[in-house]
Amino acid sequence: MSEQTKQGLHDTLNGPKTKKRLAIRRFKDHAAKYGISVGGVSIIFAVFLIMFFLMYVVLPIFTPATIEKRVEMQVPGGMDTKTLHYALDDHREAGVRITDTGRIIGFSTENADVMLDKTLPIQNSRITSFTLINEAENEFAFGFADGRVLIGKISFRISYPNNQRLVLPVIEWPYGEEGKQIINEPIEQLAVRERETAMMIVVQAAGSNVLHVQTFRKRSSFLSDEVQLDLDERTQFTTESHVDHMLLGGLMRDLVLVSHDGQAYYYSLANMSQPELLQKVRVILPGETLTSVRFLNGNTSMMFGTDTGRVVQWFPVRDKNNDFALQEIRSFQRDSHPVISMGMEATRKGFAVGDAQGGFHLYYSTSHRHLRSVDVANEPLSFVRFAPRSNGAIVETASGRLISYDIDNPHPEVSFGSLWNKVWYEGYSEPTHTWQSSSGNDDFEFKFSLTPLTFGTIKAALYSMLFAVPIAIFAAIYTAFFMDKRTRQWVKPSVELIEALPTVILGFLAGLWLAPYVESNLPAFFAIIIVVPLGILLFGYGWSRMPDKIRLMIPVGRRVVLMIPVVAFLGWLSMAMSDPLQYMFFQGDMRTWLTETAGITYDQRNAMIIGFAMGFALIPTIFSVAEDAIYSVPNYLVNGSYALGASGWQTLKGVVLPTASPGIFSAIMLGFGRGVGETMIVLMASGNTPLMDINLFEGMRTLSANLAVEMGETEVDSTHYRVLFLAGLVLFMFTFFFNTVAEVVRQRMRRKYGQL
Amino acid sequence: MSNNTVKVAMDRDNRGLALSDEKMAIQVKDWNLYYGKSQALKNVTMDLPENRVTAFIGPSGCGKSTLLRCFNRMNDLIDIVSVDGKMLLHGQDMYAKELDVAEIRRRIGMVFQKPNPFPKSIYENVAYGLRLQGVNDKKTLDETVEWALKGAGLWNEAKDRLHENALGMSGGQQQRLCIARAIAIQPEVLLLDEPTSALDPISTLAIEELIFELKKDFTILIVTHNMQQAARVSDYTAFMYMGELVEYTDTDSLFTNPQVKRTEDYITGRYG
Repeated sequence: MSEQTKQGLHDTLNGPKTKKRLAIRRFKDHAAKYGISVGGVSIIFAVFLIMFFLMYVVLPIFTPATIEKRVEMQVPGGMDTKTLHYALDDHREAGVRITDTGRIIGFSTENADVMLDKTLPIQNSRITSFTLINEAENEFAFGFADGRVLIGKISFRISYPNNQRLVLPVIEWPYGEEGKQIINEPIEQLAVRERETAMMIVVQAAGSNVLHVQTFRKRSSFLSDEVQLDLDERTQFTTESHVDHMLLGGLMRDLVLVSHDGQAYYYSLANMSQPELLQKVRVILPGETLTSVRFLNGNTSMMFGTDTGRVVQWFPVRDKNNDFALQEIRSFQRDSHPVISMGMEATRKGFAVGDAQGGFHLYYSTSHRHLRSVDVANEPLSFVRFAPRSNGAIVETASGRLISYDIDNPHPEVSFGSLWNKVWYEGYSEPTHTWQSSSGNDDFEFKFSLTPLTFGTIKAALYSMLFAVPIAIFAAIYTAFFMDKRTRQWVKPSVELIEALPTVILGFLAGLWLAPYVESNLPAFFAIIIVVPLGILLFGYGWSRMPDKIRLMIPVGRRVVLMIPVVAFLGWLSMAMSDPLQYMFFQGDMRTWLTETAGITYDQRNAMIIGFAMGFALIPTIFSVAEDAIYSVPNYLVNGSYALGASGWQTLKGVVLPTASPGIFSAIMLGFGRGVGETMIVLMASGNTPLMDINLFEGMRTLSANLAVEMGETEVDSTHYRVLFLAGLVLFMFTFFFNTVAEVVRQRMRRKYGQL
Repeated sequence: MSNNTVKVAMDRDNRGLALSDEKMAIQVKDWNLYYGKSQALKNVTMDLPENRVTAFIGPSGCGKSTLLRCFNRMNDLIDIVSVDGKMLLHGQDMYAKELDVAEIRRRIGMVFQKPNPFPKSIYENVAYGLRLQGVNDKKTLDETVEWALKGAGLWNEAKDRLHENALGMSGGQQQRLCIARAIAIQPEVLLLDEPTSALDPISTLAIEELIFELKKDFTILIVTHNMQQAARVSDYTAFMYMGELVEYTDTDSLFTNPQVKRTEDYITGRYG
């Protein structure tokens, strides 16, 4: 080293520049330290943010309803006549009260100003009965002492005089103001149901046990808006005893007569000419008295309120022999004050109860939830009516006060129980786990059970793991432990390349090509499972029997290449065996044989397809991680084992696999995690039916696919929307849980097997 | 330094040994080994005496470890290695085709440079080789494990923690465990490939004393970088250089009166 260089070096190492250099280095170290910390903390923060956001959206589902008093006024028209019905407009600005003397009083719900005061067009006869035809449409019918039935309808007309919004109630008589003559005696009980083209009227004459049933066809006139009712069929039959309530189901098929002590007679009107008594049953407990009877929205569920404060829900259920019977589903009780009145929500399955002590209770039937109770007054609540959008209610007290409430109750449809446990839905023959989130009509009962989706998620992941794990792990063992390094160098990246395949393409191929192909060549795919491994073993045995001359031509680590044509041939052989097998064992078609002889349901897009397609997508993930784990088992351990006289297999089993086990376990859990979250493949190839069946030949719907399918269609902030977020949260928890368990187990194994 | 070495050797009680008097365990004839095209061992011919310690010394890359690995055919695990020549264990061709390599390795145990216990318990480490041979009887295993651990001078330290992970032991203990593991399967020959190079002086001493004990039951071949060690523990020493066996005779003679110039240069520290 020259003196000059030496001096220069000395200056650099000790001179004034050194300080600056050290300062810069310190700065870089600090920058790196804080930069990395900020990055790490932000990741944790982001994860928590996602979780909190999900919870923020989900939480309103579980918050209880609120009820707030808005205005209180005197009942318009006074309490000397009894209220039969209240109608309210969508915005709760105007209301209409219908009394048992036939007065129809329209009023402002803000200040009780009367806007309309009319009497019925029929004045020469006395009103003897009343029924609601359609609660949401405010359509109703009166029965008269002369045997006539008058059908009326209240609607609300919005106008803007002087740029001011004005809601005016309007009363219409859509089938004429004269009414329809049904019988010639006073009508004591009346029930009317209507469909688009037909109407059914059931009446019971005063003091008689004879029921008259008449159906009408609607005929609209070409010239005017008027609709005529043409008699279609009529029948009459005698009932066993006199009854106090008559309930006609929405399908015009079920007729339930109930006496005040709860004795119900269930008739089927399916065959009009021959009404049939299907069942006699007590719908309430002995000693109880019925105080209020109403249909829940949809006119399927009957709600029986009693003097003990219970409300019991019943609906017709189909049994194994296809016969219907009434079934008690659930009951609601808050306290023992007698139920006086019940109000039903117009578009959901919720209802409200007014009791004899002035208590107002809000319930929801599907989720079996009591949502809120308030004390309205110290007197019986004689009438309860929900606003059309369920965002309010009016309550009439026995002394003539009318109180309007604001109700905030956006998500009564779900409870923890209804999300995970079996729920007995209307029209179902037993309680089920069901996911059915949309329908065409307003009286649909939402079925938000996350159980079938969670089940489907696990099913899809399990079947694909069943396919992927053995292949991936065995491949990893072979590649890492037996294959020579040069072959490994191109085998590993090639397998990993599969991971780059967009899953949408896999799903597309699986759904549109593989699924129909498997369906028509079923035996081939079962043959593959047996033929390929057996063939490989046979070939291996044959190879070991070959003379050394041939065997030594190919180096040990590269003999796997020989397998390619073997596997291809075995695959072809299995395919070719398909038809002969079908003829030999399955009467020509295994798919038909499965459904008809074995009684196994077969969907074209099923768990087996998912197993193949998603398994294929999982293989590279599992393979790659497991291969790395096995490959990184230190050579000195392997040699140590060989040096003790172990064979290759013994070394693998005794040293390599235990040492690599944390990594292999990680690989499997990683694969499972991916299988749980995978969306496109299951979306496209699973059929998306939310079933609860482990059957290999049936499809499933997974949480992730469900999100993908439904998130775009749901109304923002609706219960459905929030339940979907809950599904997302469940998925999140799932992966969180599995990853945590995997990590804990891995750490333990790591401590045990020290090396990796 | 060299004088000191010689002195240590001179203090030993194994003066007066001569190869010609010995019963031979392994015979090597015209042994050649190639890594692909480059030759790593050239025409090595030597006989290794039974129940004696034979040390292999020589500069790095001289082929002494490679030769040692030939004795239990560990070189078979390297694809590009090819060999020719004859190697006999008690007169039996070790490279005969019909011979099971794993069985050769059972008969010729090996201990490596870096302690490599398996990530298992101490007991399972020693029992591993026995289990490979299908020994699963609890009593036999227990007794053999105890015998092997005693043989490796580890029993007193290990007897209370037999079922703890072997990786929790110190480096010297781990190496003695590897020796115990190797002798548990009753080999005829024990190969030690620089067994103390990763250990501290105290552990080294323990291992050296152990080697002295073990030669009563086993034929021991040891590769070492440390000439003092060779002088201390071995009865015979082979000096290798560039893949050739330069000089091979009883340790006393080799260190006090080397016949070849290159040997003298090496043991006196002129290179290496």
